[in-house]
Order: sequence, then structure tokens, then C-alpha cells
Amino acid sequence: VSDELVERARNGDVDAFVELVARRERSMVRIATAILGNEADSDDALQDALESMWRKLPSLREVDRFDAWSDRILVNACRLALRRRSRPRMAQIPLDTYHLANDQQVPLDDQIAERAAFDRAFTLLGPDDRAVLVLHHLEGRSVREIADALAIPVGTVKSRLHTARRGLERSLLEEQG
Amino acid sequence: MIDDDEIRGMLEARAGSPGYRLTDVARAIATEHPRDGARPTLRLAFSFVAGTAVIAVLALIFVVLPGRSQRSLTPSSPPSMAATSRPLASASVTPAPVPWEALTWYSGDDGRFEQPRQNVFVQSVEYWRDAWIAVGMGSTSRAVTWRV
Repeated sequence: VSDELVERARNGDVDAFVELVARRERSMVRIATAILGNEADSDDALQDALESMWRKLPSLREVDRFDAWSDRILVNACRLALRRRSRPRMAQIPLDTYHLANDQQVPLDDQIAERAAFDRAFTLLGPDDRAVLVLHHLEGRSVREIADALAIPVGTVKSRLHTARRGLERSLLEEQG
Repeated sequence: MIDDDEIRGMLEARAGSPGYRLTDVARAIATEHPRDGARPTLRLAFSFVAGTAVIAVLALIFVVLPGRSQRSLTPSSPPSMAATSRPLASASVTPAPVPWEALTWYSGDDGRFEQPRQNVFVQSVEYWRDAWIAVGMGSTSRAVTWRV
């Protein structure tokens, strides 16, 4: 993201802000949906995050840190969405499940069962653990980038990644056994 | 053990693919919502107004209202005294019963000081003209003033 674009958005340029969001759109939607697990909650969190970004942009001092800054706002919005979640949770099965089944020669029922088990295990994790797993494994962020985005020490990121992964494995083992 | 690829695959499936354009939402928000920092002068003005309002409320609670309640305890003075005199000093005292023999009661009816007929509770003592005046309540709950 160019510093000049961020600077223009800071000064109230709506088109510049929209351009900034367009460049991060895919990543933001994936992060929110992966952390929250359904589109309805994800939509709410994304809207809150965008509103917060727009309002707080003038207070962003280091324009070159826009990506990390916007990640932090989005993760905070997801955290709030998890806290106030009141709607019934639903398992969503993406439409591309059928194609995955054809590609991998794995029975559709088994794939759906595996995903459901993963979702249940993932849902047992806290928001912070979910965030580090998603940023690292889904978005490919380095430990240092995650530390920067979440404003926590590198050691804490490593420890959270380890704890989250162990929690995930333990839950999946309990599902199988 | 679950490996990195499995976690990534499951998270990919969980995330799905974006089904709508986030940019439309961003444009609507940016167009419709005022932003922090866009109007620093307005924020400063709001802070000033809010601060002044807080100070005014505190002044009302701690200065004006106690003064009004104290005045309400003091009976009306004779015209000759009220026009020319003003308390020169005052001291708060803990309300306590005072033997009526120690006080002179100002009745407020005929401008004369008399002995009170009962024990009274002194609320404050003020120096008025050349005498200390005790202000308080009698057991009949009537506001009275005594010369000490």
C-alpha cells in the first residue's frame, strides 16, 4: 500500500480510502470469516472495522504501517463480535466442497465430517489464538508481522501459536477417540 | 498430529471466498460517517463546552446550593440591620445542642433579642456587626438566629 494513498485517505479523500480497502479486501474478508466462522458475524465485524479505520485514520502516525494497523483493528472487531455473539451458530458448507471432493478423490461425507470436526475444535479456541492461527497459516504472515499487527511481543506470538495448535490437536483427537 | 498444510486447507475452507464487494461498504461509510480528527477545532470546542458545564455543575453543588440552604435557615432581619450589615466572617461548626442560657434569641418579629426557650442545634456561627450570631434550628424546626 502506497504511503501517498494512505496520506490522502487520512486527509479525508473517500476515493483513496476505497482504493486502500480494495487492495486489502480479499485478505480482510478471509481473516474475519476464518476467525468468526460465518458470514453474518464476519459482515458485522468487517463493517465495524471499516468504520473504525475511517474514523481513526487521521490518528495513524506511521503511514507505512497501515497494513499492520488495519489488521489490528480488524482482529479487535472480530474479538468484539465474538463477545457479543448472540445469534445461533450454524455450520456453513462452501459450495466448492463438491469440487474439492472430485479433486482429491475423498468421499464427500468424509470431507464434510473433517471440516465440521475442525470447525468445532477451532471454535473452542479463544479469539487471540484464532487470530494468530489465521494470520500465520491462512494469510502467511511471519511471526514478526503478527507481533507488529497485534502489538504484542514476538515471544507471545510464538507461545500463542504453539498453544493454539496444541489445543486444536487435542480437540481433534478427542473428536476421533 | 496435524500439519501446516492441513491447517491451511481447513482455514481456507472455513474462510470461503469473498461473496461481496467490501469497497461498496467502505464508500458508504466514508461518505456518511464523520471522522475523528477531521474537525479538530470542533472537538476542541466541544471539550471546552463540556469542561465548562462540569465546572458549572460542581459550582452549583458545592457553592450555590449550600449557600442557599444556609440562608434559608436565617430568619428575616429587621430592615435597619439588613440594609447596612453583612457577615464579616463565618465558621462552620458541627451541629450540637447548645444550652439556651448561653444564647440570646432573635425572634424576628419585633427586632428584639430574647432568651431562647429551649435547647437549639447550631448550624454555623457568623460575625454580624459587632456580635457573633449563631444560626441553627430549634426543636420546633423553625429557623432562628441567636446572638452568642
